[in-house]
Amino acid sequence: MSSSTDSPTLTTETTQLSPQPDTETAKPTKKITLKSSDNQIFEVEESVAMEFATVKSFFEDSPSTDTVPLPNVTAKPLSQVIEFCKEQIKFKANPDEAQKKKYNAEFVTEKSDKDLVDMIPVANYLEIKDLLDVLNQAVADRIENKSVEYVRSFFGIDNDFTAEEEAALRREHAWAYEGVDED
Amino acid sequence: MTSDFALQVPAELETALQLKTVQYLVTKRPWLDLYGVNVRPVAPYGSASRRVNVDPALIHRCLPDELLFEVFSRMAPYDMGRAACVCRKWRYTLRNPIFWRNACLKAWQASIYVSRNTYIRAGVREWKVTNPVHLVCYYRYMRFFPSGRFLYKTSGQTVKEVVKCMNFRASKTEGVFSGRYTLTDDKVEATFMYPGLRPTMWRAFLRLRGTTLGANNRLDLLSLSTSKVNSDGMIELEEDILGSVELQEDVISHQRGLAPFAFVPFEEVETSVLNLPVEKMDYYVPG
Repeated sequence: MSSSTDSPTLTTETTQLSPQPDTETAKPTKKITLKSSDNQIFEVEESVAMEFATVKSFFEDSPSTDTVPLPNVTAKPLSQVIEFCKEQIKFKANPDEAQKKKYNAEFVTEKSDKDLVDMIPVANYLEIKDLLDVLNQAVADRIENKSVEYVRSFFGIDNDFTAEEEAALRREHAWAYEGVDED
Repeated sequence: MTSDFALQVPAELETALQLKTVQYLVTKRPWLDLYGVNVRPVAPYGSASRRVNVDPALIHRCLPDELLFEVFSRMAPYDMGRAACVCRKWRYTLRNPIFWRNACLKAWQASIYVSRNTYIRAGVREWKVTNPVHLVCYYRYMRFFPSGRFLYKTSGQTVKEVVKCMNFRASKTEGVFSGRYTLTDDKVEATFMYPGLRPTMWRAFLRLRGTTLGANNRLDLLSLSTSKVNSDGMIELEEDILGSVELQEDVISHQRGLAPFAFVPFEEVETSVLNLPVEKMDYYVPG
């Protein structure tokens, strides 16, 4: 009884939806489960997961699985990467270069330095070239026009030069010390 | 019975001995695997030297060398110069000439050399005791491309105006001429043709130098000459100007307006002091 009442409503739904251009999104999309190294579970739509070249090839090798373990990836950067890829799919559907650029710029500016650096190996492991480009550029931009001391403290790098070595290096690169921003 | 027993003992002993030799040969001696491998002495837990193995810098822990490479390749040359002074790892990574070559090509293309020349011309005003003096200011502009082509323009306009038309789309009517140059060590030889019925060949010998080591931010104009050439030599103009044209005797060597060119990268085009009008800057020495 219940099944007979259910089926007509379903058919009316599909007839309503069919004239619209995005019938594909109206279909119940397949969900894919990603498991991070710290055992967090992420359920993402198949289209998002296919943005990750690593995941994609995993599925080509073994199509029957529905959970992909990502042993090199922790939860926090993964969630941010998923967020980025969801947006990229929207831009793929209706390309708007200016809007995309704006989103990409906002995406990196609101991230902390640690988040940014944490995401790079994840993007590299999942082989998301667009994101890798955006992140690498963002890191390069963050230390643009900054002094050596600022860069060291920014990345937490120890100065492992001796005083003489550093003095010599600075003489050699004196041209690079013009017009550096205040720290 | 005793003889039997006595016979058996050596046999047993022999197998035991054999077993022992086999064991001796087969037994793994893991310390031998370490032959030739440098093993760090293990420091006591919690001591200062224990932490040496773990790089404290987040970027080094997270990024393998090839990703650090990617970040460096997106830096401007000035940032790379300072990055080389940050730590040993960065210094050795940035010694790779590929970074510098790419940076140079980018900078070379995205920049313009400007030579600011002034001269004084005495004006004449009738019915006046004092005659006015005109300070005339004009610029020579050169932009070089890695392909061996260059653009040249002489103009009274300042660099921020001229930079807009210094590209290959610019036509001769805008006064932008395209020619070829060769770069040998620090010497630049540049040639182009002024078109016309009897074309004129413009030829300059220049020398690159820097106000600081390696900057190459100045271009001295060593000599500048123009000469009329026969128009029948014009066919191979683009390929090899010097080889194809028949030089005539009337080579005019120019002695004026040979102020050194200053390097202005595109990002400094708007802010460069070279944009100041003559009234604000009546004297300019590029150094």
